[in-house]
Amino acid sequence: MNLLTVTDLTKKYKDFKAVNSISFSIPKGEIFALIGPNGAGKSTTLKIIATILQPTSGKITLENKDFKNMRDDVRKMITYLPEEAGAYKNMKGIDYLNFMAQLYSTSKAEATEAIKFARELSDLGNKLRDKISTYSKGMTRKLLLARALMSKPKLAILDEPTSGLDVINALHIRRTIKQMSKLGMTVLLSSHNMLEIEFLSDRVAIIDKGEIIEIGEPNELMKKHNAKNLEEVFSNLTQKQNE
Amino acid sequence: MSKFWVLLKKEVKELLTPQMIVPFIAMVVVFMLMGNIIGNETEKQTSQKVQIVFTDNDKTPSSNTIKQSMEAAGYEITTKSSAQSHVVIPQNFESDLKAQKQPTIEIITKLDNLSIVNNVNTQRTAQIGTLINELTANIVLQSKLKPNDIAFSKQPVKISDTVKFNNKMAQITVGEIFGYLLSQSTVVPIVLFLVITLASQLVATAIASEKENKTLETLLSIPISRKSIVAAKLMASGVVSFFISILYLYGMKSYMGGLTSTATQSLDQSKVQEAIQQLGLNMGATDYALLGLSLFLGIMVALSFAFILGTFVEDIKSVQGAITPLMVMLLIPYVLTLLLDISTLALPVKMLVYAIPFTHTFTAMNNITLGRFPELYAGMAYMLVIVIVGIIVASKLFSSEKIFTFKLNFFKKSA
Ligand SMILES: Nc1ncnc2c1ncn2[C@@H]1O[C@H](COP(=O)(O)OP(=O)(O)OP(=O)(O)O)[C@@H](O)[C@H]1O
Ligand SMILES: [Mg+2]
Repeated sequence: MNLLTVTDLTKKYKDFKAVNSISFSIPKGEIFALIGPNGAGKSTTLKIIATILQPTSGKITLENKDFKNMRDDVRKMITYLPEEAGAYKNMKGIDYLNFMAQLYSTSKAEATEAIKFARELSDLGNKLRDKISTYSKGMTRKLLLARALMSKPKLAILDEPTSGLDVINALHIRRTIKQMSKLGMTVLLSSHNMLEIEFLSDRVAIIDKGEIIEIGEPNELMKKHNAKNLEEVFSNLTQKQNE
Repeated sequence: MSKFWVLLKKEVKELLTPQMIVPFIAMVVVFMLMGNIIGNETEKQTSQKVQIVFTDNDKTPSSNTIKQSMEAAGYEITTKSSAQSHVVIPQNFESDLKAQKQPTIEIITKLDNLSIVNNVNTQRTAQIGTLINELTANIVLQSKLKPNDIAFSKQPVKISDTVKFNNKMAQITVGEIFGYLLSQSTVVPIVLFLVITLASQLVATAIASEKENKTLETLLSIPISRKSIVAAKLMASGVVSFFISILYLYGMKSYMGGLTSTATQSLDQSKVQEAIQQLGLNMGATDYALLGLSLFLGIMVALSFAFILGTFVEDIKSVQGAITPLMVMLLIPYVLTLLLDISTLALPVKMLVYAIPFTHTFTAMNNITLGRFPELYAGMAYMLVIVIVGIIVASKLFSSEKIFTFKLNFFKKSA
């Protein structure tokens, strides 16, 4: 059973086709990754699925809910971590989590549960009592990630989730994402870190100039392209494209 | 030194961005236009002669001299009911003068409107009493009457001033009434201007800071309706600006209080109050409620417009430039209503000024005190329509992706 189905998705900015007729589907509980060079159209795709942008053409459904007319229902099932995101600087970390938990949950108990989970996830400890304006880049990222995962969404859309994090923190986050996916959360993410993709994702789509040029399980792709790792697959494919 | 110049050049370049130049140019143009309108209006007013109805109950050479001298002094003696002033010479004018008894001359002045420029003539009518006194003094001196009383020769007549408004009368001079009303009708527009400016800045900044701090994308992916987000932003800015403006008002009141207490010390304040009551120029509870409602509508117009402009802004720095159109729209009626009675302007100009929604907030005070209720309600209805349209457009913009893809490119082109 596919949770998300994307069919012939195209996005134009004025005359420029940032995403060109891409199709893919993600079964429930899968971690699906988009990889590709800068400007390939990864973030644009994620923004459309996060209901932030509207597609120029194509069809998207989440659990049979069409994005055309059921955006409000869709928003209840997803969370989105933008690639470049901030938090309200005058809030304390804990206030931010509180605020978001209230917006996402339907009961007080649910909100309390979410906040408790987010506190662990963020790993910020006493720093949660400080204003967000004092946070480092990585600390803010951890807070936002905790926010994105705390409501245990059906689909988590994470645009370069671990960018800016140190090795240890990135590892912690990856483990958490993997754990949550085992519990049934579906993940759509993008990344430039091939090790991360190999560790995390069940399937990857390589996207270049707005088109999906390859899609499959990491091991499969390495075999098919006779490569030692995903990095090689990536550079082989994207360079070929540019010739 | 050369490095200093490199630095200086960079600083000047950073400052002279289109965002900061465009608003200034816009303001200069607006002020030039308004200077023109006000200049024309002043000329129109001052070129007109003050009309006086002259009732002579004495019909003696002395009273006739007064009449002729007034004509010579540039007043137009007429029988038209539209005349601003009515001078009544009493029956025993000449004989009283001879007996060295001060005759009482009645001057009735009509109050038309409450603006500064339109009242140039009111100011001139205020001088009628002084003039008549001088003219009578001349008569007394030139006649064979030998005044044995210096005081009498200086002040041979008593002047009784009456102000007429809407067929109601009160014993008071126009100057006193006018001074009182003006002190009231200048404070209100200042507060209106402050509140509306503040509200628009707040709401535009609220959106710009979501963009600048990169919180907008997250906010818009949350499962709450876009309408709630728009409403919350509008309401927060409205409420905050309301409370800040109460603080302003408080400060302003003590400031104005300081000014008026010295200016009106000589005036009998209770006498003015009583006259205001008699003329029906006082504001009751419903009047204040209407004024409040009009202010509320003005704020809502500003908020919805500023919201629309705010969606095009990418950072807080550009807010000031982006809301310039709003400031211009606010400044025009602010200055004009302070100086003129807009209803007396030439039709095309009038239509233009009335098309600006804020005009109706600024004229509300005058419309209420002068009892022009149809105009007041029409203005409010117009503002309501604009508010509804504005909010619909604002939430449409906010619900679409335009908030991310639209940019105020004309600011960026040359930069
Ligand atoms: N608002 C916009 N207006 C016009 N063009 C845009 C806009 N946003 C993105 N683009 C263009 O769309 C293309 C895809 O951008 P996108 O951000 O999706 O790339 P990406 O794959 O996420 O790249 P990166 O790895 O650098 O994050 C780029 O060429 C970019 O210039
Ligand atoms: Mg990207």
